[in-house]
Amino acid sequence: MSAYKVLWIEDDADSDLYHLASPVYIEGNYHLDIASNASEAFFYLNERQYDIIIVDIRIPPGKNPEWLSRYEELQRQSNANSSRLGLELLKKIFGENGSKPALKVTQNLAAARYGVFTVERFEELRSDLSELNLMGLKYKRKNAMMPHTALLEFIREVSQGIPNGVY
Amino acid sequence: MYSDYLSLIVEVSVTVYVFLLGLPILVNQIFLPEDLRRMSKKNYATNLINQLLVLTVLLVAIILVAYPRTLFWLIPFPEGQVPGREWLITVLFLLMLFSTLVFLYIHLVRSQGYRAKVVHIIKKKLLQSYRQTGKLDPAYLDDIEYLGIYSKGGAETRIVIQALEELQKNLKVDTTPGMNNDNLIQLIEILCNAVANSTEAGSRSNMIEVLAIYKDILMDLKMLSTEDNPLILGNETRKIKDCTHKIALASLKKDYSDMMPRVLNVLSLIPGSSDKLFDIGLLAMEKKQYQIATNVLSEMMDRDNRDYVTMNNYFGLVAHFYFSGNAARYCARRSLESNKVKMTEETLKEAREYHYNLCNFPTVDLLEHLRIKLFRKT
Repeated sequence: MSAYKVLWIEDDADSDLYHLASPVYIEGNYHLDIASNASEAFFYLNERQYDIIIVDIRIPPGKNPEWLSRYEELQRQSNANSSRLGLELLKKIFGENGSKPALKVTQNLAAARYGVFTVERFEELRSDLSELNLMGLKYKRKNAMMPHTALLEFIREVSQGIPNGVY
Repeated sequence: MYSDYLSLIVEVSVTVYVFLLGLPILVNQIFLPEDLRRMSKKNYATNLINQLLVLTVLLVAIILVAYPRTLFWLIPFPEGQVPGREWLITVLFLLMLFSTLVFLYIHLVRSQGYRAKVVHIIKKKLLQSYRQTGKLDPAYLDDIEYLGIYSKGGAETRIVIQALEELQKNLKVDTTPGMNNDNLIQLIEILCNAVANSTEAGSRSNMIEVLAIYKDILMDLKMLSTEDNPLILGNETRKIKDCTHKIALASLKKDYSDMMPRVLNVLSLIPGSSDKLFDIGLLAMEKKQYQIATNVLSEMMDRDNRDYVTMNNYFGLVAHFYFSGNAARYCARRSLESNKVKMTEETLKEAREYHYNLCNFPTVDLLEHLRIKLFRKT
């Protein structure tokens, strides 16, 4: 098959963390799109088919009014989760409380394609992921000491976890 | 004594007034930055006229009170002192001085954030004209463009960019097939001029902000596109492509190399942008920013449609990689392999012809060297 299509949802992907993207580009097997906020991520997920989707948990809302109002709502609640829009994105994608999944591109609805790459500890996400039945999601924690190949390695890990027949 | 006092008051008042005739010029000189002064399509200082009017009325009143008999000789004013006249003229004079101080103080206070206020007025006027006529008033557009170009990079330009962003959000995209969204195209261009053609040193964060706005517009156009009416292939997109390219080149020249991912991010939404990617990749190579050049090479092939133009631009960049040292050559080979692109003599000739027509002569020469090197034919 041709190169994997990868969406990386990360607000620092084209600034502080760009050094993580370069090995992915140069490796040649992955075509990388970068979404730097929830609005962009939702747009890409509704417009393009992806083989692998890497999600950050703390992302800004972008300029879509729906995400902006969701963000403001979370801010008003003023708890520690106020900027965890990545979780909100997953909730919207996979349907929270029995609501229907919200993506037009059905390929992007396969949970096996998703990986969470974030600074949050897994324990902090456990209850939310559990509610969404996403406990099997691949997870990798970002930290200041991670090697420049961290993203590439994680993408490989997610791609290996995709069961036969999903492609 | 009585007459001397009145004459003195009138003389001082006239002197003050003559001084104040220069008030608009004084205010302009002291409080307005040069670019705001030169911006002359529309008048943003109508309140100065009103203030001058108030002072004129006061001066006329002082003169009338001082010389009633001389001015109105037909009216039989009583001989001797008019009661209360001294008191009245003193009050009028003090009022005039007080008004002068108040007006100057108001301008002093207003000069804080004057630029933002002018930009706000322009934005309001533009929105008003758009709501009334469906078009943006060209004179106000000229003024805001002027402000964008001549504002200092950073916070001042950001004010203009934010105003333009708000305007853009209020524009309705015309989805009628074949119609240009001229208003939108104008805003796209003004945004570009504010950051890429500015006379002042451009600011990285403003460039990023403009690119984010472009990306939002592209997302809107994409979502409004249908098979019958592919808006994303319209002139608005072409303009964004052109402007993104200009911003990219401006940023590379300023060594804002870390902005390139955002540029690539915007261009990845635009179909047929390989020509601009080629230019960016080339400049990156010239500046020895190989990380960017490599990413451009990868991005160029990240398209479902590998048409004639895309492939020729790709081969052109590959040729540059080939002759930029062993590591770059290896990188180009990896790119060809992973993208399953076969470079034949014919494809290289085609690419050479394509770049020759675009006068990319160094690329033409490198493609010819590559052809000779790979296929050993002169």
